[in-house]
This record gives sequence, structure tokens and C-alpha cells, in this order.
Amino acid sequence: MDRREFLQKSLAVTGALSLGQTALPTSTSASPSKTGVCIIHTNDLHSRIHAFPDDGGNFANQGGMAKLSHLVAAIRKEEDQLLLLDAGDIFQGTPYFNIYGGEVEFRLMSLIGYDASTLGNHDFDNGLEGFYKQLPHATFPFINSNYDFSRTLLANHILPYKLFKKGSITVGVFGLGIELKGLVPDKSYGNTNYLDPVGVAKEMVQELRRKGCHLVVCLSHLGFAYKSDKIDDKKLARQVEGIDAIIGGHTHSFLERPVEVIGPGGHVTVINQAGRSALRLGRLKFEFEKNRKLKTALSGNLAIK
Amino acid sequence: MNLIDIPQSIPKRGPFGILIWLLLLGLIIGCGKYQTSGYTASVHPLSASAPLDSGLLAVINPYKENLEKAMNSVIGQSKKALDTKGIGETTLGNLVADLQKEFAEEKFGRTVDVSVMNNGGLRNSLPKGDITLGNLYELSPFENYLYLLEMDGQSMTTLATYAAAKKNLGLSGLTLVAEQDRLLSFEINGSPVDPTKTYTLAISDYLANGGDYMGFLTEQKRLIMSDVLIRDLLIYKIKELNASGILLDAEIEGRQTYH
Repeated sequence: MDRREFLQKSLAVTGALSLGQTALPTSTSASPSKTGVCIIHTNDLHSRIHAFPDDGGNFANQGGMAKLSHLVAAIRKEEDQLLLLDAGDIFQGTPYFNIYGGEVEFRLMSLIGYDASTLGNHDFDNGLEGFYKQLPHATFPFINSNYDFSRTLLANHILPYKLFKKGSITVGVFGLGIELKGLVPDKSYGNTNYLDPVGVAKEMVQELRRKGCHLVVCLSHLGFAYKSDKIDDKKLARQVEGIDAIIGGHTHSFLERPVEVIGPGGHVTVINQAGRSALRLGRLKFEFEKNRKLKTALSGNLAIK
Repeated sequence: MNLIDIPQSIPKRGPFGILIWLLLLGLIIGCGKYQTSGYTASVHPLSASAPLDSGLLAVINPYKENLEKAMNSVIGQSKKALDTKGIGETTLGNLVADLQKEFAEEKFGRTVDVSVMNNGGLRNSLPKGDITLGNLYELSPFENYLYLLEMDGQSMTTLATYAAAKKNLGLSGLTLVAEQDRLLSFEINGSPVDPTKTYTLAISDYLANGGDYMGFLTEQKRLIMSDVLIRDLLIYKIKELNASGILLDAEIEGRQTYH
């Protein structure tokens, strides 16, 4: 099944949505023939509140959440159908985390207006309790689909997926986390049960299609690519059909442009990752048209300096 | 399909009904399915000149001030400046390896024969006089955890051979003599290595997992994989010494001899 069939499956819901929005007396036209959704994203913020110190290092004076706010605000002026996402490892990396436990990171992300984040392995660094304690500081949800938290205190606090309605478009976001055993001390993740990302992703794509999503996005902390058999974003895209975009993290990959992977049935998945420490903000804009059958194409890297 | 079913629920009388009918007809014609026609991608670097948000800074500032206060807090005293100058053996390497050994023995209630710290993991020196919390974050910025490994005589020999060749380790409990890069002899707490005995090694998870080319450690039995950060154990020990009025001090005292 390819993207077109997927979208046909969601026809009924699309129609119903459009109906709901246009059945106002003042509305004389149907939803627009062209529309778009812009996704901007970070990963592995690692408690980088301020820019890197002015010490002559490679990243001196660059990055940091304090700089993110201004840039995001500028993009909001250009894009009214915008999603701001993070792919995990918010915690650990500067004394801000060691002293405040993540409070500063969550508060700033809330103020910057993040729509969602997933969990990285370092987000377990203060244990499940440490993460739970900081949740009141986050006004955005955490999305993960393959950690079974049902026997932990995070039960019912993490969403398996979330739908975002942006104009006429419904975006479905689910989340995948890396295997914790060996990476995180056992005590820190407690009774969290890690489920196979491939199986879970297949279920999520089906579920989100059923819900009428036009765009299926995976927030992943699996890592971009490993030489070993370990599951990564590229292998996931090759094995799971129907994911439109994987917003990745963990491997701190500075991708100059997204990588396209052709999965089962010829479905194209776009993988992107934005380095780390808010050194970069990634940006993907998906265009949608009605009744047009165009090939998905990368129009290039439009880096804004 | 839903689109055909829905109009049936609309009241079919009056001018409004007709208007709604017309509106829906238009919708059915105009409302096709959306599909992606492509995407564009870009990267926004947050460069040195990227502007800051004053509102956000106002939120950060109280945290920053408290953080700086905490980082400037004095946790101990040093008799002299301690650093990683030297060939293999350094004052700071000896101090950290010793403190790590003492901590591991106290915390886990067992004998630790040898303790190892890689000099490359010590990222800053300690000054003479006041030692602040910030000094420890600069000294040990990494999130490395304390591990205890079980070593047999042969693997201890491998460790000593590695240390003599690389000259990159602070050692506590192990002394060695080498010529150039070649190990001539070594002792564990004053005795020659016993090939039939098992030893306990205190080390960071980074090295235990093969960091700094110590791949020979990855197969060693893990006695304890603790969640104690090396930085935190150093802070704990320095505060403890300070409370007893003991100044930090270390000498290059011949633990590693290179001819």
C-alpha cells in the first residue's frame, strides 16, 4: 500500500473534517486546494540552556535554548500551521540538570511552545520519579508508544500518540524509545517494559490511518543508523510502511538534509535529525494538494543562516 | 460513504435547507482528498549571533544566579595546585584514584585492590586553596559511573602492560616499573601478582566498557555497576575530608617508574 491508498483510506474522515469547518453560514468556499504543515524540531537538548561557553571550542557561543525562542517566534510568523517537536534527551549535560533536575528545561520548552516531545534514555537519569516530578513544569505532552509504563508511576502520564489538527490536515504523532537495558541503570527505569519498535510502529501507523491522519510522524530516540543489527531510524523506515516522517535523536546526527528511505510498498519515509544542544533547528514543510497525484520530491536544503 | 449519508440528516425544507444543500453540493465537488505533493526542508543553525529572547532570559536568570552561587560554594581546601602534569603518574590522577578506591570500599563494604582513573577524563586542574563545587564540575564533567570489576592475575597483568605502554592512567594499589613502553614489573599493594587470586578493580563505566582502548575490560565480570557518578563520589569525599579539617594533597611518589 502506498501513500495514495493510505490517503484514500482517510477520505471519509477528511471529508467530515472539511464539512465541520465549512458548514458556517459565512463560509462560501470549501477548504483550500493547497495547504501545508510545517514541522520544526530539535533533539538531544541535553540541558543546554545557554550557548556553549566562549572557550574557543568548536561550538563556542552557539546553540542553547535561550536562542531557540527567538528563532521559533520568527518561524511562527511565517507558518500558521506549525508543529514544534523534540525527539528526547532533554535532560543531562549541564549543571542546570544536576541542580534543578529538569525543571528549567521543561519550563523553557513550555514557554517556547513545544507541541510534544518523546523520551530519550537520559530522561531516565534521575529515575522514573525524577522525570515524574518535573512533569508539572511541562505544558506539552510526552509521547511514547513502545515503553509500557503501566506498572510504573508514569502510567497514564505518557501518551501513546496524539493527533494535531492543523487547518484541514490531521497530523498523527507517535513515539519510539531506545532499548533501555544496558544503556540506563536498571533501577532508573524500574518496571518499564520495552516493546519491539517495529511491531509497535506498524500498529501505530494502522491506528493513525484509521483516525484519518494525513501525515504520520514518528518521534524517535532510536538513533539514526548503526552498522550492527540494532534497530535504528533507517531500518525502521525500511521495515514499516506508512510513516511519512521520522524526527530522530540519540546519535546527535547533524543531517544537512533529510534522508529518504523507500519502505515496503514504495512508501517514502523522510528521516531528519538536528544534531544536539539546540545547535540547530530542523525544518520540514509538507505540502498537501487535493486531487493531485504528484510524486514526493525533495526541493532541497534551504538553510537560513 | 459518509459524504453521501450526511445530507440525509439535513432538514429538507425552507430556504435555509436549500442553501445548506447547495453548500454541501459545493463541498462534495470541492472537497477532494488531501495528499502530500512534496516537502521542503531546511536547517536553522543557532549561531553565535542568533538573538536571545529577553523574556526567556528573565525566566532563566534566577536559576542562573542560584546555580552560580552553588557552583561558587566552597567544598574543600587543597594544600597545593593539583594537575595532570607528569608521565603516567600525576598528582591529580593519584588523588582521584585514591579517593575513588576509598569511596568504593566504604560504600560497598568490600576490599578494592586497585583503582584506576584515566588522566584524559580529568578535564581541569584543582587550584591551591578553596575548592568549589564548580571546580569539580570542570574536573569531571562526564556522566561516568563507578563500576567494580573482578580481575584475575592475567587480566591484572594486561592492565599493567596497558598502563605502562599508554602512560595515561592514575593508579591506586598498583605500582609498576617500565622501560620505554615495556612493562618490566608490577606489584599489587606491595605483592607480586598471584595468578590464582581474583582482584577487585574500581573504575568508571566508560573505561570498563572499552573506552580509551581498554577493550580487554569489556569481558571482565561486573561485581557492581553502580549509579554513583565519579563526580559525585569526589564531591562526597572532598566534603568529608574538609569536615575533618584535612587538606587535599598528593605527590608524584613513584607509583609508576619509567626508565
